[in-house]
Amino acid sequence: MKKFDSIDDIKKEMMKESYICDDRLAFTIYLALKMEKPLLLEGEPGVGKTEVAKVLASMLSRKLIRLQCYEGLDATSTIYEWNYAKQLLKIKTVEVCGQGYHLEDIFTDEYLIPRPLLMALRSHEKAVLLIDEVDRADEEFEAFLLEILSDFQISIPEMGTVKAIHKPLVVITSNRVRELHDALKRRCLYHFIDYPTPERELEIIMAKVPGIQQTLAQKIAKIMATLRDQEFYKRPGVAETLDWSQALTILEKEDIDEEVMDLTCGCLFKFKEDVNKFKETATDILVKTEAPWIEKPGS
Amino acid sequence: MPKILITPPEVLQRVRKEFTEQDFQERTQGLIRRIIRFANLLRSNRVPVHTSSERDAIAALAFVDINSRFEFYMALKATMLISYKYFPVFDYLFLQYWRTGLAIPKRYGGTAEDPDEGDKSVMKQSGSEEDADVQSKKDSKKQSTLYAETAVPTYSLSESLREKDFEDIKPHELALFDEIFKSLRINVKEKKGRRFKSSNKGKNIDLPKSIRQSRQKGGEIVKIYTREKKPKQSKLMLLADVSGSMDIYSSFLIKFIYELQKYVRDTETFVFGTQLKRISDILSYRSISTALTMLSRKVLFWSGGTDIGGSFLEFNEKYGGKFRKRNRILVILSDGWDKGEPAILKKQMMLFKKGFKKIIWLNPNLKYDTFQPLCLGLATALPYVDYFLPCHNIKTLEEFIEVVKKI
Repeated sequence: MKKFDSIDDIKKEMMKESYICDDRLAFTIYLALKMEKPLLLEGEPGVGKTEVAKVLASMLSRKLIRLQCYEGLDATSTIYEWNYAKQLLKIKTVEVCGQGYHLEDIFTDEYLIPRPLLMALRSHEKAVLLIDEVDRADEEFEAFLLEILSDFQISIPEMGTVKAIHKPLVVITSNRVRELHDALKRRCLYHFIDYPTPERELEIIMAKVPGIQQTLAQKIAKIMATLRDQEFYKRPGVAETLDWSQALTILEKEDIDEEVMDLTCGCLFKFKEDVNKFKETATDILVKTEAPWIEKPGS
Repeated sequence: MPKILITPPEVLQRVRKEFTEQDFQERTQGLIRRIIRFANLLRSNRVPVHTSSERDAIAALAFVDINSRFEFYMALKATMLISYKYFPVFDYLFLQYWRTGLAIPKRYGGTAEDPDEGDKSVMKQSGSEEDADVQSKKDSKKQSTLYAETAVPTYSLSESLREKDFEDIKPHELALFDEIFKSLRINVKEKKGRRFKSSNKGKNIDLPKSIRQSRQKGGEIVKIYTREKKPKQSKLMLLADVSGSMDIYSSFLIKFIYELQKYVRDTETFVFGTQLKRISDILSYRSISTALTMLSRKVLFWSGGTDIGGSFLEFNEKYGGKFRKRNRILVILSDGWDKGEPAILKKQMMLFKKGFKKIIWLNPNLKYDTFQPLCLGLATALPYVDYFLPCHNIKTLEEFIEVVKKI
């Protein structure tokens, strides 16, 4: 069993899983582990929110239980559901055999279909529960989460309360499509993941894209920083950076010029208007990133 | 809380002999009191901090190295805050209150560091504790009156800004206004239509669905499905005046129309001055800045003269067949200053009256109490208008949405 007693331990372990994380994130994770409280991660798309949960699961060697939220998600598909067909069969069988039955007989574990949230609570080993993009789910769904997040228990009216055997580490991510309710937020430790600085982005590229040259990676990091300063409908995140770097290595390019940018702009932008704007400003961006790479001390 | 964490090691060494159990207790309680006071200070600056968050913050300190300012700062931040919106205010107040600063990355401009300010803010806080309590939590989220002596930027919407006339807006407030426009969640789907959709909240039993689903379970109805009436959306048809007399307002109103077109399906927008132009396509760009640049390129009669009657005639002749429908609401944004023939306008208004469900006229000059429809254009058109509303600030625009909802 690994121990995570300091921020540096966590950073080192996450580095092993090739996730570069900064002090603030590492500290919030440390606190979440120690306090056994859910972790709420917010941030722009593509900055690695979901990745945090995946990396945590493999770092702690725990099982990852993932719940992808979507509109119209309800309790039956997330917490538990009664196996109606089986219950009906049971009633029919009992009727045919002529024995009497009690209502309680068909509301037992045998007829219960556990869904991700209940599974996470009843898991015999410690688990990491990832509730992804919770802002996509309806507001009613947040209410279901409240009991689980604060007390790590679920009340099933017919059976009673199920308490967690081991408290899972809960990671909730949100893209801020809509504001989450305060009641949910205050049960969690809050952390906002921002776009990385060029220096950190360089580290991320070097860690995630094997075989990339340092100079190319530096240039990519600089271009990304310039791009994020500009107004786009969807600003490129770290995920896009990595796609782009990957594309450039596959194409065996050693330097970025306008032609290369034109060829590969599909990696960075997914909207026609953004692509057009990117093509228009390609020269400007290249000029801006001509300046040599400066290592900033202490970053 | 483990005692060792309350006392820095060097202090322990220095005062090892005279340090008693009671001292530990006092120090612990002192720190807790100070944290609670800090939470109160945050609250009085409109940062919502829940009581359970205070408890969490204190509990978190058991796990951190309290001598490390970074860890202390992060522990309070992670437990107390619930949105990135409050980061700048938090950072500022943290510097003021705890009089640290070296360990905090100064990203949000925490430059105004003045050790004397710290005491003041504590004093100030004790005075304003009362009104912080009185104020409800929801209030504190929406309002954005700032910490009196500071200039921390805020993201929340200010009540006063919403009621501010577009005419009086200063250039530096524009960015904030754009934020408000973006955060307007325009929803005109309130009225129920005739059709049904299945819904868990509905009160009507959806018999066909219940029976259909029961076939899976051998004909036993296990769950009764319900349905409710599908909300019906009013379609909008906008005619916006962009002539010289509307200049101050049209730049704001066009942003509003942009948002309107984004949220209300099948909204059609035309602008008119001396001519008429359909701009629905231009406004459907995903980025508002692109849309506005395209507008300035394509609409050449912006800030020109006005010929309301002529423009309406053009609309009815060119587009009337397609867009003049009884299921649409016509919205005219204009101040009514007209250089055209009243007779033509009158005829067009009669056509509109027959062809549209309702006619709403938004007039920015309606803000004056003594407003009289003196200009000829308006006087001619007014008898045919169903709703005559002002549109000089965000609040009146919201009221307009409310009216649309009810039609």
